[in-house]
Amino acid sequence: MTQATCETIRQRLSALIDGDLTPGERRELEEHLSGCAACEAETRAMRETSEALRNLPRAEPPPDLIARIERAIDGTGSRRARGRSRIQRHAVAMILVVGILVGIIRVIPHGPGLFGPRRPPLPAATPTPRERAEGTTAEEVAPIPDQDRAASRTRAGAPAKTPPVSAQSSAGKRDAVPAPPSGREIAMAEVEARGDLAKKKNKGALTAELGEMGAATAGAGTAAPPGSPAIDLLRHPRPEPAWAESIRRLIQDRPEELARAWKSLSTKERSEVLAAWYRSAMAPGIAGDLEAAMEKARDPDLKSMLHALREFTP
Amino acid sequence: MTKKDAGPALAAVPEVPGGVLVDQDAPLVARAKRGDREAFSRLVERHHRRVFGTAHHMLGDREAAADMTQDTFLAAWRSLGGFEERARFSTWITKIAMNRCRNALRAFAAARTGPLLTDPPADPARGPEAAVGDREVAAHLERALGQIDPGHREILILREIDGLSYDEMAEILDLEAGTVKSRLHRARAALREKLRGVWPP
Repeated sequence: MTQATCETIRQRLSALIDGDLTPGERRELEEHLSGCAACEAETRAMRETSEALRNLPRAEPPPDLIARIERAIDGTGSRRARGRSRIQRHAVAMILVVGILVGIIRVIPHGPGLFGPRRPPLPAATPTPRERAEGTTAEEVAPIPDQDRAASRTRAGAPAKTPPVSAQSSAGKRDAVPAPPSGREIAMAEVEARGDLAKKKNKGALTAELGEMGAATAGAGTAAPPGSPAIDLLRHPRPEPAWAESIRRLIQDRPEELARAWKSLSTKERSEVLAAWYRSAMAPGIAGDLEAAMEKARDPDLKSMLHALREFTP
Repeated sequence: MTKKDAGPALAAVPEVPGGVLVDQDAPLVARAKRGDREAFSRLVERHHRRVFGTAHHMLGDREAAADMTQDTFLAAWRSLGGFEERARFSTWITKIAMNRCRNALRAFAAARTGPLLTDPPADPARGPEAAVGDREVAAHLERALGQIDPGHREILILREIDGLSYDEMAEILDLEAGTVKSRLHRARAALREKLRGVWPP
């Protein structure tokens, strides 16, 4: 009989645990173990780990889970996408929460001190989440990147403030779509939807934190390569069909550019893009376009971006 | 895609001589397929705990797992007509749940928001009856499970926690039985590496 090496023996431990070795293999293994303390110890550890996994207690479901399932099923007639949207809502909430944390962390290094005076915020470069959601800045009302690339470039020099009310009305008329809730409202709703988070933080603190998200973005002043329509679109997500349509066109016409822009975004910015995408009431058929683009995509950044968008397509 | 020649059935899968799986859910499934909501509710009652537990192990978050469970049953209800009953209902629904968990985790990876594993390892929901030592072990294991590749986590959950056979795992993961074995081997090795120096003591 050939002497089995430690390597061979360890390759068989998984099958040993499952009782999937032939009698011959098993005999060979046992012979080896009787003379090899290291393999013997490893076998014991593997067995114990397997055993412990089997005994791992299961989490109990929330008491209302059955009722929730039943409601979801019975509600299917009126709201088709309801089931899928629940997990997506959750995903949005999770991403927003991560975004909040990132936002808070970002505030710290940009405070005064250590590295000299705080960098002045770029004029109107980065609207606060509220402004963004309501479409207050001029270029956001402008339509599709191709023809408006030049206009977008001038953005950084544009006057900073437009009162939310008037901007909202102009943005609102562009598409016959009711004004979406502000980013902050969405974020609050999402966060509140998560009971466990609500337990950890009171609403007041969350409101303050969400307010800081905007401040953090402005303070960070993100060294954006300016001028690319892809960057502009991604940096200023709007939960509106027109914005989603612009993204869709870029996916079809200049996917690499979009992927590069996506890659340059921070985690929080990506979260905001996905949240806006999910809420944008985009035209039907976009999911199919995304899947077609995913088929063609070779670039890993492009793939990961398309995948994320697909997941957040209701 | 049945894999009947795929080696020993490990879990107690009831089988009749023809190799046809006996599914105790089959009568309920048949009724539910004809649109019987009551029958489907019975299936929900029978399987929601297991689906929730699996999703919880995959996602590490109770709320996400609850959403995922709800989604899974909703999807099952909608696509019941296409369920050909080559596999048991429990296998089929686990497959739906696993696909969804996998997609959710991929989306998070794509958005680079980090893992969804938010629950503290010692979950109070599992009750005080667990001894302190057991809880420590569970905490080590859950942490390690959360750190390995989701594909490895998935197959370990199916095999060790759900106690499925190679055949059932092959069906759920859309893999050949041979691939199931090799992936399971790699998954166990990966988990063992994460635990090395931590547990067993």
